[in-house]
Amino acid sequence: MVTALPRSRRAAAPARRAPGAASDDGALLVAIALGDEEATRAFVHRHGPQVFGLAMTLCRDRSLAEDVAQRTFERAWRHAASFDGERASARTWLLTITRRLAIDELRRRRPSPVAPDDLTALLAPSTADTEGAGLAGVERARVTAALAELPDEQRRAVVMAALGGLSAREVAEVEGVPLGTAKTRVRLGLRKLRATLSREVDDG
Amino acid sequence: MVDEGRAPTSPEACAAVRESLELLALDALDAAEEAAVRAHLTTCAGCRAELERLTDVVAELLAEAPALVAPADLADRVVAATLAGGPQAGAAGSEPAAGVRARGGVRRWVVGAVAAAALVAGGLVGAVVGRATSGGGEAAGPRAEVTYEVRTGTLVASSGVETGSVVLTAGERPTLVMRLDHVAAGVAYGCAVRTTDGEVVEVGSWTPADTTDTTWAVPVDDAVVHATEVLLTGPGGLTLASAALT
Ligand SMILES: [Zn+2]
Repeated sequence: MVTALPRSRRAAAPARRAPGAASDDGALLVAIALGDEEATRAFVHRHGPQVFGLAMTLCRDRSLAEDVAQRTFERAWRHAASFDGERASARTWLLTITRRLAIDELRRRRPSPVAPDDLTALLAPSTADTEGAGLAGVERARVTAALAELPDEQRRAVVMAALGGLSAREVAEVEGVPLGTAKTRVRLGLRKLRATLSREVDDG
Repeated sequence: MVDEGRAPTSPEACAAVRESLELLALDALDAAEEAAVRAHLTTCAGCRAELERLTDVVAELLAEAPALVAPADLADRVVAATLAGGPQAGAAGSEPAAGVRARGGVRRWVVGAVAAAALVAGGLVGAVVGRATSGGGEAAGPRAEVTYEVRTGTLVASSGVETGSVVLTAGERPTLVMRLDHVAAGVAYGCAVRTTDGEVVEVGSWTPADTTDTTWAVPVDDAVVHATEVLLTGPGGLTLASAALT
């Protein structure tokens, strides 16, 4: 029989498992670290669309993106025990892995830089109905708003580097500006983004 | 850009490197520029910390990419490459196998323990040590060692039928994992534990989205870690099954 307990005696656990709730990702990762297959499947199911979406955005090649997505989860599995939920959400952590793997592949293959037209697609809203869409949407709106505050040329430079996987040299090439100018746009854009995002955190 | 004529961690060297950290956080530097900045970072904790903060901003930006329907077999492929096939079965370009083999053995042992718990009343006691490098594949960081003490139990309904299993880990990030053989979608299941002094502590509740949603993992606090029994409750607080932890 479950007795009613004062709040302080309750376990420090989320009250329920809302679909897509990030709060139990850490627990899921502990289960994954322990070799739990169902936990692994649940984790892939929850984060697969965002991971695959980023992989496609960066790689623009379906089979390469599928490979990058799979390797992202393999790496997450290997590092599950060292995931630090205090520092980043599991989703952010996964996406960082995805980007690392995709950029390593892209740099190896040396593709031609993305045309500026592709930027529209890069920032297009999600159409996939993902399990974590609600939560991802909230975080995303915050970043989208911060991006919108940047001057156009800085926003384009930051997005091309972050989501297009372009180097400063490639940004310069695509935008038809000197390398130093491209570097300055990336630098100032990311600085401003950081200031905006941390200001929001401070405001609560 | 780093002027090699300056002392590695002089204020001038830091100021020069700081001009490149945003670009490094975005992997936007050429190889030679990146090597020069990284050389400074090996000797300068201040600039490393600054890079880490910028990297966090970039990580947040990644959520801007659109979510897409993932390949239907993605989970199968991940499971095949990790749990089923072990590290050697991974896709080309996987991690070096060195630190992984030892860990894979540990994982298999734990999976075996969970399976055994479903068959043998009483479960198993053990300590599991997992080793992993920290971070998500960024530059090699310090090695982290995580220890799990694992206790397991079989969930048995009042009718005597086995309905699932539980795993309770102690140590870093204590966690309770509950697995039911069958679940009803949309029903709120509750979980509570009996502590060593006989008190019942509520852990939380869980509503499966569908009938395949049979596993629930939840972080727990110290009051729960030394529990002797795990209770599964249904709507209205009715106890459906219990598992003795050993
Ligand atoms: Zn420095």
